[in-house]
Amino acid sequence: MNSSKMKFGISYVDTHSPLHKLNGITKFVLFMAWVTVVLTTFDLRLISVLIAVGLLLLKMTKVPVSVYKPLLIGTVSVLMMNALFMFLLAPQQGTEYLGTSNVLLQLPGHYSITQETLFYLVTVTLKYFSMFPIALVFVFTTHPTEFAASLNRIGVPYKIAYAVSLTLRYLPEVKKDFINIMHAQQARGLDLSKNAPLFTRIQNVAKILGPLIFSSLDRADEISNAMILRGFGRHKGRTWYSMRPLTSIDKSALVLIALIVVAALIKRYMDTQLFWYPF
Amino acid sequence: MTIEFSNFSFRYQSLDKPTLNNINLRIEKGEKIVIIGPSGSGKSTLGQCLNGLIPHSIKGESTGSLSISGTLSTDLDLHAYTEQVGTVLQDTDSQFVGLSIGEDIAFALENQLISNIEMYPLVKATAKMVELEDMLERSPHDLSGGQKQRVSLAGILVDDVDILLFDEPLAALDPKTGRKTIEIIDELHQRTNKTIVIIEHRLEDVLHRPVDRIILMEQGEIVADMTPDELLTSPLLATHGIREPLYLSALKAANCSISLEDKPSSLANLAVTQYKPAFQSWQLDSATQTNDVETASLLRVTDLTYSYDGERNALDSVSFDVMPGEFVSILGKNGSGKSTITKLVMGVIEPDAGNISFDGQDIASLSIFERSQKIGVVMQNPNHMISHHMIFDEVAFGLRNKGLSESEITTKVEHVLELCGLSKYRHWPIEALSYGQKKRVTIASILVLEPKLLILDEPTAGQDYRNYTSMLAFVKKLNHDFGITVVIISHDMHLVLEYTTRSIVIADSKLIADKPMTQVFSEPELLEQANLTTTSLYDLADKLEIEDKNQFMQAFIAIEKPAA
Repeated sequence: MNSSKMKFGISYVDTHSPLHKLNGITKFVLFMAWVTVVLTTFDLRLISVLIAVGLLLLKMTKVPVSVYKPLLIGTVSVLMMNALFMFLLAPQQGTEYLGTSNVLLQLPGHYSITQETLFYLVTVTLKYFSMFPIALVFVFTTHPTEFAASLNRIGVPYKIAYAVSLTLRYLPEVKKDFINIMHAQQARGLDLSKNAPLFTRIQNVAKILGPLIFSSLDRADEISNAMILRGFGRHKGRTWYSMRPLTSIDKSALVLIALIVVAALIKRYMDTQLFWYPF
Repeated sequence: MTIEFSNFSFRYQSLDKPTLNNINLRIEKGEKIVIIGPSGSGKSTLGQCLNGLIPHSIKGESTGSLSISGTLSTDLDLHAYTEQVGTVLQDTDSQFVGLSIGEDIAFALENQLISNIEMYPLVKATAKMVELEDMLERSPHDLSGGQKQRVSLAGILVDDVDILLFDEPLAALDPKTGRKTIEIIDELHQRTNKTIVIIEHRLEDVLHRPVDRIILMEQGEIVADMTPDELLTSPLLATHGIREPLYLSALKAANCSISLEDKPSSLANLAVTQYKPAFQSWQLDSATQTNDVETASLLRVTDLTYSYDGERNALDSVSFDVMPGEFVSILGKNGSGKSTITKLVMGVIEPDAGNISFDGQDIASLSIFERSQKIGVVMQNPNHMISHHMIFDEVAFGLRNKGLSESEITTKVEHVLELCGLSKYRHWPIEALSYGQKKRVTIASILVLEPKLLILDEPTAGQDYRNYTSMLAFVKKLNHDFGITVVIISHDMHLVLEYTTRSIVIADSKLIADKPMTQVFSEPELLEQANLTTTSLYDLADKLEIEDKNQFMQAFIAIEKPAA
């Protein structure tokens, strides 16, 4: 089986889970709040809770693991690499932040591995990772136009908000055009395979972009005409078919999220130390 | 709700000459009008004047007046237009802006600030009018061309406009879906009595259901404004390059005289019994074509299977041969797997099973470029193929990649340009060409590589009758004079009937027929299976109670051929 045939789509999947029933606004606020909390903290306890809750929510979406497994593996390996490079570039960062130094393994130069360094790297890596499940939850459970509607509701001008949904609508069409153009050029000897030197290959890809940009511009023109003809831009605002009213569950969720964010901010100000380090 | 153009002219800002010239036209409320004309005749421009894109979105200079239900167009803002005129665009993909059917139908309502509590029942009711009420959640990628078009239609019906404007509604549809579209438009017209304006150049397909008047345009002017019967009995169609209905061509070929009283606009109402004697000679003789000389096949496809997603086969064990010098058609509806065959032959995807051989040699090990030296593929959309600024460079591209010397390239390119009738344009920028000319450039850029087999994917798409007839006459000449084998992939029945001798029919990923074209065309069940329709030639034969329709079609082709 050809690997390019594998379905690799991270997009809205309707599994009718309880999370799908939440309002787009609630989910958007949750996502933003989540990121805020993660950015404020270096507390491993809190981060662990976030990861656990995040993974639980991800499970609740009922999206099969196989769908996001490649992405999961990818993210974990990138984060691992990131940790490695952080260590190589600034091996004593952890010791600096945490103030103590317990050497576990003596290595030449500054590269001795200390307990603090390990703890620091684990905290930072998990901190980044904790945003991963919630991002997936958001993408899997929020319909793009509902997202656009939510953006509009929190004050983003609707023309910009609608652009988000249009992008998602036409991306597959542009991809189709790209493939067609690529095939046509390959048939006339444009070499995009590994046989061509890298630089030539980049140049050759650029040759595809010309027609792609022109055909996309033509398309954009037609789409904008079609939208104008159906009254887009007529009023200062617009309503949204996919917008749903906030239910009581949404409201309580929003209150809960607000409380947690406030609590996290208070904790950040109260904490005397940036890192939580029990040892 | 009348529309009235009086002494109306329009010139695009970027052009020197007016595109519409002194138009005088009155369309009454509840009329059903067809505007026909070759590409560049101004028929689409006329449509853009009707829906307000001109002057509000497209700039230019107009003289004379246009009034819609008594209000002068100069007093209408764009929204006043959209309240009265609903437009279904040619490219339904561009019109489908929502991410689901329901959302797209609601688009106009959203823009009018209608609350979504009122919106839902309205969307549902409108969807019901076009039989989409059970699919409101579906996304555009899961829909067929015909369904997308129904969504576009619902999207404008939701607004309760009085005038419906259709811009080439049949362009992207297979014959059966096209027929269905015309039926839906007609039902809508009868039920709601809205004014309907259809811009189209496929006259026979539009006339599947009656229309009140036909406006024929040429070079920005109205050259005829008459009933279908009047137009069909006049010589105007031929002089202005519009394809007349096939059954009329057949009647004329048999020297039948057709008068206005015969009401020739609908085959169903035409009293054909009077013509029976004229067709007597068609049913006799004709040496049955037995040129089945055993030759080695040029392209042999064996048990070809391919699946895009690993679940459903896009192509399921398809085998066929193409003999040297043949002119073959591959038929099937959109998504049946036709274009997958092209991709596999080109080598841009690899088969899951089966193999392809050319001239007796398995081509699996050949690169895409190596294959293209033998098999030239001309894609549907010339804009996808053209990557250079100048015509000469575009045609020379393949040769340069082959590493030929510049003098050799010049000789070959000039020869091909000459052959394609493009010599005088060789130093022109490509942007200056029309769509049909661009298509010719893409053919030239393939021919220059001297392939033995030419595959044309939907050669008629986006082209009017006059343009594609001249293009196909040229392809025919290549086939006849230079022995280049030609395969066309199409669902244009007229084209297939006129040019090809054998048809390969693909339906639902499987090959369902591989027979002489006339035989395929005389089997309604087979055509039905592939979402195709019988031609009116077949229907005529049926009405004439002719047993051997295959023979009847062959006789027609034999008569038409020398003229072509």
